[in-house]
Amino acid sequence: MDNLKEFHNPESLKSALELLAQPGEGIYPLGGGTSISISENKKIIQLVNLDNLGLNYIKDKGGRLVIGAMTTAQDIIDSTALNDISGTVLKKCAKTIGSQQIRNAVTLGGNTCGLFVWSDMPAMLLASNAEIHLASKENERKISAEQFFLKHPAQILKKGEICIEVSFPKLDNKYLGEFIKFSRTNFDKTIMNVCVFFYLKEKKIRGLKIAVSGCISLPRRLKELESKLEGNAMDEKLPEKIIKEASVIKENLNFISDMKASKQYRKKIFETIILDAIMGTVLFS
Amino acid sequence: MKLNLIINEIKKEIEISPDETLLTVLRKERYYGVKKGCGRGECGACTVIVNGRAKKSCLILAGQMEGKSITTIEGIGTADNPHILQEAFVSAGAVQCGFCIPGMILSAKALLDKTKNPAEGEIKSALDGNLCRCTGYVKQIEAVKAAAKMLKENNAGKYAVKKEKIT
Amino acid sequence: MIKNLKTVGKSVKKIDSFSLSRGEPLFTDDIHLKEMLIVKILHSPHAHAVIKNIDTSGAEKLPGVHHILTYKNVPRVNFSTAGQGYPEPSPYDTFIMDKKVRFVGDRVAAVACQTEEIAKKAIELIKVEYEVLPAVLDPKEAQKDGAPLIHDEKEARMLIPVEYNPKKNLAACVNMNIGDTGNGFKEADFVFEEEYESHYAQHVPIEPHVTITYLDENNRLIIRTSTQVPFHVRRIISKALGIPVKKIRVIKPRIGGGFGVKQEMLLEDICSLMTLRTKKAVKLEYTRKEEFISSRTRHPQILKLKTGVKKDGTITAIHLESLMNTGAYGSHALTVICNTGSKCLPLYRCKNIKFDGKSVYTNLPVGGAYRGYGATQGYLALEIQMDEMAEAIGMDPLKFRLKNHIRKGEGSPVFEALGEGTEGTKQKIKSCGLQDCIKIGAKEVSWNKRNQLPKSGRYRQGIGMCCLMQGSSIPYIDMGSCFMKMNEDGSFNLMIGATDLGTGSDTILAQIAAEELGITEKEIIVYSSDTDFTPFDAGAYASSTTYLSGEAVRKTAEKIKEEIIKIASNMMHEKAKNLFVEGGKVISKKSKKKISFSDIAYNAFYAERQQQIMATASHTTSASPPPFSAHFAKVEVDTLTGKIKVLKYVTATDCGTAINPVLAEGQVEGALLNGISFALTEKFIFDSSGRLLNANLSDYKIFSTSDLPEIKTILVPTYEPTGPYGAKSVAEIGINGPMPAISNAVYNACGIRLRCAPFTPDKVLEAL
Repeated sequence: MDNLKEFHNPESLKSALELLAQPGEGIYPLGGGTSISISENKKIIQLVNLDNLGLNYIKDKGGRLVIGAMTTAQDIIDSTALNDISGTVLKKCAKTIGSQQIRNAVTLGGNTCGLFVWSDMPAMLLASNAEIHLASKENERKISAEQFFLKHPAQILKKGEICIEVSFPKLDNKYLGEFIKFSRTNFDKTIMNVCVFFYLKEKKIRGLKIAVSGCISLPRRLKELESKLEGNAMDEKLPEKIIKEASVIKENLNFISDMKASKQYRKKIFETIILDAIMGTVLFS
Repeated sequence: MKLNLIINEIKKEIEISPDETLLTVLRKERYYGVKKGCGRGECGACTVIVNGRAKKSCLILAGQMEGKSITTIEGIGTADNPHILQEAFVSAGAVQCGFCIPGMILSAKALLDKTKNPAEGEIKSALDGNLCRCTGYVKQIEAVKAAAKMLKENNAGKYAVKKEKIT
Repeated sequence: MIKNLKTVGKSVKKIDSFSLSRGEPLFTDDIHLKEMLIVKILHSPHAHAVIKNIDTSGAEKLPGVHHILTYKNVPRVNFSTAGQGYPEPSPYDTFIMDKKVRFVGDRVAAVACQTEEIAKKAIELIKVEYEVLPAVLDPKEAQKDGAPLIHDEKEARMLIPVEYNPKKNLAACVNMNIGDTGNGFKEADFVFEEEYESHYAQHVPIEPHVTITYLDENNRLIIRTSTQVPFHVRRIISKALGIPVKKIRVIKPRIGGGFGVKQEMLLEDICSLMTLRTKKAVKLEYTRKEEFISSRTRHPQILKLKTGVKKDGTITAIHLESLMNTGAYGSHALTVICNTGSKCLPLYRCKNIKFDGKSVYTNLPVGGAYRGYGATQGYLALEIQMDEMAEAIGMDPLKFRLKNHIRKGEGSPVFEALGEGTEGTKQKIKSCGLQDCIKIGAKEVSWNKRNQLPKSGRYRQGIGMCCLMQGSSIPYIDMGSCFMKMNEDGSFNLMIGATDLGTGSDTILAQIAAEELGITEKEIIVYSSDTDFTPFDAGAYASSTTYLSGEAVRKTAEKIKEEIIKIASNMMHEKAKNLFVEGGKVISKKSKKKISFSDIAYNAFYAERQQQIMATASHTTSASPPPFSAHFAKVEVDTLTGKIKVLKYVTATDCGTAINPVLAEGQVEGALLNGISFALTEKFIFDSSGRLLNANLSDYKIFSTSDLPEIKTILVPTYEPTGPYGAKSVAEIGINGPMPAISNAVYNACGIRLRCAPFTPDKVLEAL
């Protein structure tokens, strides 16, 4: 950040977007600050602080939970509005992020758009069919989480464009859900995240959604696995079935290696963490 | 650039450079209780309270603090009038080298300001960003429990502590 | 045991904890000096290379750059960075800077600049052309003929007469042979031979190394530094820079943790040179990354242990071999490997014991002193194999240890054969609470129910244990001393070279002085570790402060007490033998008359036979009485992910008299948690060229509060007659247990023997 020259504290979304739309390179939005403040990015010349734009809110809007991009992980944990199953799972997810001081700083928008090694939200957003609301000076658009994470968000976001809001459908109370973060210690970055949602109809799994992150390069829904498990009975044979099907589909995944675990290890534990998430829903609800 | 903020209840106007972190600025202003252990948000020695919440000052650009209210360790107790947590940390033997302690106490304060009667899990979770290599955390968790108990029993008067706002 | 102790044995509040809890400016960096320059170091990007050309002209032209150091303009004097007694038992193989670099992180150049930003830019402007040499990263390879030679400089030498052969990358070598192990193995019913591996680790003091230097009004060099060894730093700087000791003053303020990594002269030479050349105040502070790549580490060891045991539980022979990787320099290379033998092998009775230790150079980060100091590595092997022996003969591992461990009144031939680099010192154990430690700890952890814990299914639980000993100071080598003087109000100034690095030694030394003088510790004003104002002390290492410096303090207090009584005897017209001290007064047993310390001091200052009441004493020891400990770990193993969770950890420790029980517990607990995360998550990850990849605290994982298992700390009091008020050491021993105790617990849970630390989930899965 050796070249940072200007720091803007705009007080409206409009002026923030105007600042970001200025011609030329080097203008970056600043969310919670957890990545930018330690960044060695020499391209950063101007920063636009998004803190005072009124983007910190959690609303229940026509059957959807709508969360402002500057809402912190701790705001999510403390929220009383997030009381359905997707809200509960989102809270569980937020609790696994970083340490207390980080949870006080990390924002939903930053965690989503930055796709940092400490981004634990994306699997949850994918499994809950979330919609990412983007805005720039010229344009506003909504894009599904699935589309959003097809590439690295940096490739999705256009110049001057930021995430201003994330929303997802409230799930009625027949739904079960779970989020699991598997890491070395409790205050750590993930080795593998899994989020699942489904409901039981006549004891059979319906509407199953499974998403993973941290173990492969981009977060993704596991639709193939979802379809293999859809309609299966929630009985004593299910764990075996999950292990079997997950073991098959993992052959098509490109696991990653990093300081926390090798790709071989991630591949080894893959089906176990999937199993824990699906079976955990029963305990969790 | 000019930065207007409140540090330990005193309004300040400070000249900063846009690339400076809050940690750098606070130490320049001689709030030496704010320690630098890693500069990357990993150790928590630089923890301060910003508008009621514990944050790592090395992960904040000073410019983000416009209009904000910051509490450092210097702002919560004095030799004659220590904060209940400072008293509890000393009594429990929770202070060894003491380098992590200002941050640890501020994290604990942010917790107790919000949660009157924290469970052990909540204490562990509130302090999980404050690394300590000396104590093994055992006595620090005891200290926070003791402080919470003292506050609950309304024993605060005994220590002549300025009344803590508990919500 | 001494009864009626007033201050010793009480958990008085740590005297500096009030100010520390307020965040007062007490640490090295908490001062503001005018126009202080900032120093940054350029580190080698190569594991092994010769600097062909170094061009600093670009950096010199940068405004704000005051001075640049390279190998070309620093004195070519070699030394050891190890802060040990003189002559150091570590090889002289280090220069301030050299033409050759020997590991990724070695020093290439240093700049002193007006600001940190300028310093960073100046570092980038230094152009270095390297001739990259083949590197050796494996200690086994380093020993082979034709391996790259790391110390081919002609100056490399050892000051003491021990084997040192840099031409074979051999930094140290030690052999000990007691009895006849060959025969011992023949007598055995079962013989075991296994290989164990203990890994690299960093100390992670939360305050990284930092030094500030400046010239005082008399042009003397002041070194304000975060060190465990201020007097050794003064001596090493004097020799390395060629300036007389009298021109140097080393001040140790409060220290933000050390654990051994600050028993080293690491920054002070460069910082001092910059001040001497620029005449300005200078600061050099390591970043966390530099702390990892360029300070010191725990020495990794590959241990081969062979033991023989009879069916009745008699251990017939022990042969321990260890190959230690000292990295690019030999700091503590000899003494750590010696300790692997000398602090582990006396624990169990055995007639035939052999130890072969080697320290070899590699092009990897440099080992140094680290809490546990070789014993940590040794106990990994010894205590796992003790479990294996017990199992083979069908004896409860706990009973097997109870049967064999050393007892009060017994000696061990190992004490005599193996010391710190040379021969050891004969000693008999005068205090040992290990029996009680084992029994009390076992009860607390429910040892007898360990086989009823879940042993099948996904999550399996088990309990493992181990026994440990360490030492207390280095006999006949290290010295501590003390000076005390009395003030008019009956208070005392206690001046000690002993170095409190967060442990609370200032407090417990004040308690010892107070006890001897019959006052409370509040009457003692402690000032420690300033080479101008406090007498010599070797420093804070080798578990010595309580035992060694503590006795120096007790002796001084005893002397000053005699002095006080002598004056009181004159004042009271009573015989000295009838007088005693209590509650800040001298009291006559005979007449019951009392006179206060304050009155005595006034009398001495202003009335009769005017004098300053003061005393001084030095102390060395002839023994190194071991503290003992039994550790018990209860774990749960997830057999599908391989993750080990420590559910409960019990320690029972005999440290003699705990001068301050809460502080003693704090020593055990801190060492323990460091040991647990060392056993489970802490590890160095290198790439194939020897570069450390995880030089930060998010990739190198130490435990936080949320990982803390249930911990039960038990102190088992004994009385050590050679220590102050019966005290032994307690600082290091606690770190030695977690590796073997957890490994043994995992075996109890699911039947796998983990011998290669750290016990990460992937290794567990592989073993299952």
